[in-house]
Amino acid sequence: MSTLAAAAGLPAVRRRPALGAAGWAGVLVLAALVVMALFAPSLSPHDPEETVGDPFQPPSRAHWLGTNDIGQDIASELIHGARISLTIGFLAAAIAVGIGTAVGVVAGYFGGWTEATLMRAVDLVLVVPFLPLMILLAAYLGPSFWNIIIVIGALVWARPARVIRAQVLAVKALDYVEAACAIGCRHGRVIVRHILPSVLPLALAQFILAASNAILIEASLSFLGLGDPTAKSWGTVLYYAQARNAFLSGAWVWWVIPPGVLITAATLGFAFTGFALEEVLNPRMRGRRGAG
Amino acid sequence: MRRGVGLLLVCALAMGGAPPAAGQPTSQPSALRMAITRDEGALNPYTYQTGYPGWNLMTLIYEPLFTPDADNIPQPWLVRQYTVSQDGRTWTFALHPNIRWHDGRPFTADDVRFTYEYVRRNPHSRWTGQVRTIESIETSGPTGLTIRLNAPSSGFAAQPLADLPILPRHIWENVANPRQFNDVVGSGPYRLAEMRDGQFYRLVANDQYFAGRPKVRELVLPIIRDATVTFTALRAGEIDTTVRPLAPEVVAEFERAAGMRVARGAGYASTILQFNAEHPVLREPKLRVAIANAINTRLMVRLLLLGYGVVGSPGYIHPSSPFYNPAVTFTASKSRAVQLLNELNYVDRNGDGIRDLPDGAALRFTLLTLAGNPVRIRGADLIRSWLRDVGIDVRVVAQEDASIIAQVWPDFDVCKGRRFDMAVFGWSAPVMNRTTALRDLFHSDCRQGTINIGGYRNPALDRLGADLAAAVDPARQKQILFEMQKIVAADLPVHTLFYQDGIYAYRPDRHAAWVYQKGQGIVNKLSFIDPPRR
Repeated sequence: MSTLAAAAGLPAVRRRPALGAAGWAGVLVLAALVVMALFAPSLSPHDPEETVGDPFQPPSRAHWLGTNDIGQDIASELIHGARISLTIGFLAAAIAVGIGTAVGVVAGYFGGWTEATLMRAVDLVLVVPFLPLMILLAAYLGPSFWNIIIVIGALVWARPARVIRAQVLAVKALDYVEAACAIGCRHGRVIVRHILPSVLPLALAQFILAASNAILIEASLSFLGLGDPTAKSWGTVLYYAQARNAFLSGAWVWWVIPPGVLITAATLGFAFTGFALEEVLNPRMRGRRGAG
Repeated sequence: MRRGVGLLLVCALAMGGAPPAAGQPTSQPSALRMAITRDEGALNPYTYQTGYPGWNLMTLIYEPLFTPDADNIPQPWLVRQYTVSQDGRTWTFALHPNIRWHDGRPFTADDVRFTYEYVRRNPHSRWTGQVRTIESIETSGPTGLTIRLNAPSSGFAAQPLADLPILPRHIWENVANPRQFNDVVGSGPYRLAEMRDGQFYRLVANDQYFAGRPKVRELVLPIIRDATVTFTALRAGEIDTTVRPLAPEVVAEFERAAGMRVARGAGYASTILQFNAEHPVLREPKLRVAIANAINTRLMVRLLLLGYGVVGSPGYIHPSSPFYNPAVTFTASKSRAVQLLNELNYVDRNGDGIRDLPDGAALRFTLLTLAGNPVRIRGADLIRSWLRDVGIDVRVVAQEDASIIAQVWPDFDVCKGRRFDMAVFGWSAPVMNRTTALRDLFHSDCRQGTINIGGYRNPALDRLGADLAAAVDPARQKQILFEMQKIVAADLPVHTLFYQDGIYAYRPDRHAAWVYQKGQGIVNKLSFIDPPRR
């Protein structure tokens, strides 16, 4: 990566490396998907909720990706699906990072038994086998839009919590924070004025990575029939394709591959952006890369 | 999760061919391979698992006295002749004289008496209720049998006579805990030769069978849990048929495939829009009729079933049934729906596009549907959009089986009430075959209307239901059922949406003599043996 070369060429560690090629690629893909979601009604050729043709039609001029099992246009479903998939991704990631930041800041700032307790909880979430727990939770809560968000949010907060706690530990030891403590500032004020601003960039990177994770999880849950089957997300499109025998009838070419490609694009887009941002914003990583 | 695990197991199965290499049964080349979907226990009357195909397979080994024919009319099978007394309470039977159990012991009237008493003592969800009408059973000699009922019963021939399989007394008389008992000595055309848990069953023809030699020498039943794997195996020739019906979207492909034939016939399983008739608003029949008028069931059959189905009859009974009343019809009309809603004074008062009740509350309902069933979810979605067009707001909620049952049919006991608005629901084929189906579905007394899950109430229908239960003469039964269908069609306690056809694919070079039993399909005894001569 060019950032690496640049960082290696310049001994000065303080300089922030620029977003690399992969990072920009991720941002572009994301931007494209967001535009698709925002302008879905004008971009899609048909209303995805409307039966506009015979069911199970192969691609044609009228329907670029054919029709689904009740004659809805698959291309329009996918374009509108970006809305649900991205919304779920963003909301779930916001919940996860919200929890993660709160836990990380509290644990890092207060230390002691508070830290021990919270960090053991983090360890617990990290070691519990992820997929079975997620399926169990989703099945228990029942299929709905918000339940999916809650399940994802409840399961991916641990990593952000760890990363943020580490940063808090570093910030806490800085002179100005110690000074603030010394002049008797209350904890709340120190956290809000000094700690939070220094971890927010990091939380942003974690947010992007969590969103990537969330989109993938939403697609898997929906595919397994544990999502909201009436919401048109990419995972739901896959669910119906599988349930209505697309793999048996050959329809998978236009019914399974396109949503698969979109899910992959969104996940990769988020991941590239997130990793690149992390590299730029996480001082620890910057130091490591710089030294190497 | 269940599906995920199932898929893994099935992949393992498919890689080893079907049945799996690890547990290769010692099958002759003439064996017919028919894939089933899950383990069916020891295949005896107390351990088989499913109503279909478990019961159908179990009755190849253990036989009831009667057997439903291709039209689902119970016909004497182990019985050579029988008479019913004038009052309908005394049934006298003469059994075929030369029936033997698989272990060589003779099959006698005493075994029958023993079985009917045994299921009364050892509760079985299916049969204990069926024998409750029996007052006494007497035998006379090895083949003579007299059953006396405490009241005439219209459904007696169907249940228990054609439903309850006879157990060998010499094996079962000391069995105190039948659910733990895995013996499989029966009297049927096949005996169980081999079984491996979760893998396969192997049935072999009973050459001593009293009605002649079965048409298929050997039947291998590999368990394949995943539908896609099953049909891929069928197309590849690794199995010869399957108990799974073919999904509409792949029928055309299997019809085209070389060496494959498709049997298609009426399906008696229904898909219905179930109303809660106790709901403060939905209790109004006119509203239910208005809702039905907004739903295009013809388009549902075309879209959801690709035409492989029959549009629902408003009296619930399938048009292929001998009890169907052709005079009862229903044609949906959106303008009629609008007119009825206006007459009810449900009009949009606040301009949000949704009609409002006279008290100002919006005309809004929750529609429950089964999360695991894509056809029902899509059906519910279509209903939602059509009702939206006439100003009724519907929220579709897809839930798991258990939570649907908890709201619609708590503990499978209608007496425990209900809390839902509407549900896309369905009844399996045997419900249609019950002579008393319409009483069971709509009688207001929860002990008689045992599946009246909507809590529908109509004294006229209750009276007819009571008459029906006591009617033994088929002509009289038909007359009563015709009347009942008229009432159901006028009140619409449920709106019957459609009946999906039964479609089965098989390789005719392996076995072609399949008999399509109306409403049930090809997995039945008649596909393997002709009825005994009387």
